[in-house]
Amino acid sequence: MKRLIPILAAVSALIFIIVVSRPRAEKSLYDLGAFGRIPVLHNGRVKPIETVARTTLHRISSNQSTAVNKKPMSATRWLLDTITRPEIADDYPVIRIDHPELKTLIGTQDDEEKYFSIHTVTKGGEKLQHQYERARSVESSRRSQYQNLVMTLSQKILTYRSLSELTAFVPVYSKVEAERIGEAGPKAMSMEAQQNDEAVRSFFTILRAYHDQKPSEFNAAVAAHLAQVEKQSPQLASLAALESYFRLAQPFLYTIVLYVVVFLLAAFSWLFPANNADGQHQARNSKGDALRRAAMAVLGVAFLAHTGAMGLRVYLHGHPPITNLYASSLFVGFGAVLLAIVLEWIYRNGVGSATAGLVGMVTLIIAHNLSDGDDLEAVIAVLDTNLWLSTHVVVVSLGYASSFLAGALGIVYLIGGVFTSALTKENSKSLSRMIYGIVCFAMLASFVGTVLGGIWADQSWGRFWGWDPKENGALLVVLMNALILHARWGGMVRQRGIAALAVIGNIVTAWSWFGVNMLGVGLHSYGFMERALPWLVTFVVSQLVIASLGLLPLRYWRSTIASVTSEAHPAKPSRSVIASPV
Amino acid sequence: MKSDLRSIASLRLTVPLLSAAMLLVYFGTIAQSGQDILAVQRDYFRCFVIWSSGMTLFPGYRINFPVKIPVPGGYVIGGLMLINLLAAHAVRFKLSWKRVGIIAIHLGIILILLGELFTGMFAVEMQMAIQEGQTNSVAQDVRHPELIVIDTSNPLHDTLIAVPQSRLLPGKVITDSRLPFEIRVERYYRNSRLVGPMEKVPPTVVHATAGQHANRLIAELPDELSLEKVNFPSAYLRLSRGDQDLGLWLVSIHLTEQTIKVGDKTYRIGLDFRRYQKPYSLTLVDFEHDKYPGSNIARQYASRVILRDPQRNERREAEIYMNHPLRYRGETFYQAGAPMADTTVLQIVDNPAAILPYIACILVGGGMILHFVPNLVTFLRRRQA
Repeated sequence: MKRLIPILAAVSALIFIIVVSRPRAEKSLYDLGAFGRIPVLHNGRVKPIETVARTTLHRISSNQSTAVNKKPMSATRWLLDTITRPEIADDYPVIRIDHPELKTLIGTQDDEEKYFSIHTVTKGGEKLQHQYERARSVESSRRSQYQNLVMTLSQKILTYRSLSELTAFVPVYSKVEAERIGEAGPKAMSMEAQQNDEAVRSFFTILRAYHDQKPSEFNAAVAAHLAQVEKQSPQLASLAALESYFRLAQPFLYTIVLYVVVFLLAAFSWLFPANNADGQHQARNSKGDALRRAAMAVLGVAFLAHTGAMGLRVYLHGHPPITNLYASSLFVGFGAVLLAIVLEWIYRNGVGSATAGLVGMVTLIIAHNLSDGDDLEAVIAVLDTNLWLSTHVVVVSLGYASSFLAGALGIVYLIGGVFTSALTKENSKSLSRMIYGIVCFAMLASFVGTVLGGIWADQSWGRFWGWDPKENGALLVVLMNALILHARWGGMVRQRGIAALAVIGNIVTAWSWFGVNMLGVGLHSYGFMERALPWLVTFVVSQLVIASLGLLPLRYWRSTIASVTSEAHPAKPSRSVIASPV
Repeated sequence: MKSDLRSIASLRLTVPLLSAAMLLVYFGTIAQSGQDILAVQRDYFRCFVIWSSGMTLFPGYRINFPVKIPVPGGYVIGGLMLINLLAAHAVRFKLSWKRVGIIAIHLGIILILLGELFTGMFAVEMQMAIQEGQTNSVAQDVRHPELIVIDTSNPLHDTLIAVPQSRLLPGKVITDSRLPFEIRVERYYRNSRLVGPMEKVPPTVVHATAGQHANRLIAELPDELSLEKVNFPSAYLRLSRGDQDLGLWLVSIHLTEQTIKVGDKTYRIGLDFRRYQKPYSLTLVDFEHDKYPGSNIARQYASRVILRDPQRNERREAEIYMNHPLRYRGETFYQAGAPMADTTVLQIVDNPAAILPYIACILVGGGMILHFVPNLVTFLRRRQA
């Protein structure tokens, strides 16, 4: 029976991921799923209208779906209502406003309410317009926080208007057509300008059927439109269909669930004490061992789902895996989980699986919060070189991934040592060796990645190193890893110390990954960064608290990791297998 | 002696030095939220001592010190790291296969540190703007404005005297035997704008009393923080010759050179970016400024130029675009920007140390692989045994 547990675990994880990732458009008389597959030109890229609906809705409401009168509503339905039935859609509460001062500006005092309709927001009209004109005259880097808020709200209104007034996107039958429209400049981007176009006329038929509330006509028109796309450009039709499937399936979201299961299984496996001689390996086929292997099996499925979804994304985008912060967190998660799997493969004690679950979960949650609905956007000119994007960015992200993994192992060491009795002498040794090995890898990856970045900069504008915030961030990760390694080689830290330093490394890595973007220097100060700051601060404090556990005298630890004598007389630096001086 | 060397070679010194380097980099990054990147390079990384009046822990959270405190700058920390590293190798030097990796890594680190030092000392960055169909052989260094005084009395050639921005400090008096007058810097604005004719005049504006631009008005602006943007300086100068006051002159990047008559000679005076006359010229044949369809997101900039160098009998066409520079005469030409649809801006860099990081990267990367991989293999073998 126990032998079957891992197989059962893997099979149920697989069934789960297959069931949840089948496409689910909103159930309706209207075939919204098919409508979502219609390719349109929007923000410099041809994409399915499903993506446009989600991006636009996300931009104004910070969500990819909404609810009206407590009933959930999909982004595509919201888009159709907004375009064709403004009389009801203008009252949908979709524009998110959190800040009390902005609420005052639009003339509402409701502290509880977060979402407002375009109707409510623009009721006060002139006051907002006036503030917008003021904020706009100030250069973006010198705006006050209030002015930034006003600009963000105004952008939301403009986004809403560009959608309802049909100036945001143009339906196309082929990419050639999209290029032709694009050549003509931004003005051509209104459907009015393109009204003689075949694709636009057909699209209007669809909109009219929706406006008249005639589902069968709507479905027929959508089918006819898609048939035309298929006829003129089969490749575009399949890409758009694939992308809209990708949006509906939200594979990364469900992979998070699997990572949580992995973490729980691995953690539970430690509740059953090891009962064989060396105190490290759990006896084969014990309860703990079965759970541990189940965790590994589910981890395998989760990693496959993660990798597959990332591969699909890369295929759709046609660029290397990392082009923005969102994609980088997907990749950092991927890299850390991959390394953790290697650790589990070598050590087989559940630690690799548990940290894989932890890091996979956290990075995908971060990614989810960074996504704005369209993460496949056009890549700006200087980034548009696949050579450097696939070398420098990938290697640097592996450096981040491995630094975080070392930090996560450090957390397992300190929490496990102080609060549980699971950290035996043997476990302590193997865990600190894992941290050491991962830090070595992190050192290699972050250094090579950083230098490759310098070479890219030298190739692009003749400056190998400019002390730019992002470069400095990468340098800090390199220095931190160098510090950990030299502190160990110099005998200044041992098992406990290296774990605590690795946790401090988490702070450095998080800072260089996100912190530097919050400075708003030379780089864009993204709106979401203001939301992210409290999280970063919380993270830093939590890591400091965990790292300081390492300073707690061993007699307060629940685990016994060293005999009293060796702790009292720290002898010469222990030369473990991989240690080497200088 | 040996024991002294041992202590400065100690890893117990390496770790604090690495921490110090991290703090320097951190504060040098934070400082960029309020200072432009070149000032930060100068004040934090390319200097020996930082006289610090306070610490910005995070933008918006600043602690001020009662007095200015000297803090080691980039040269001191980098130099100490270099000494520590060299001493470590001097003490423990032993050429063996096991140590080849370590030696290569550290040799690479030394090259990187030196490369940064030499770049700071010798690299020159210039820009050249060319309109389609036009030819240009003059590059400008927009980071280094200077005051220029031109003696036009010789019919064969002009004599140019340039005073760099670093000497144009308010209150300073500039005298030079080649200058026909004394210059007292009344005001110097690192960044400024012209006050428009219809604009309400700000109360702080100074009025010049002499020169062709005496009626123009200038308002000071804060420094640009982004590297892509350029500061436009202006200065008010009090000129005098002996006891004779020649008036208060306004010079600015925004304004053309003015003529001034001193004795029987005529001079031109103005503020301009440092110019470099090149022995070659570039003609812009075609400039492509490509955007993603229906958007303002740049997809590609590309300049097709003809390079002419009569001295070397060179005449050829070249294509310059993002990540694809042209290299000629030790200089590298990068596609920088596009202020207008038919005008390209090329960034020209002359950095004799540019090759060092490349060698360093190979040394360190290779060294790490030589060092870590055999250890990993040994470790895996032992676990299997």
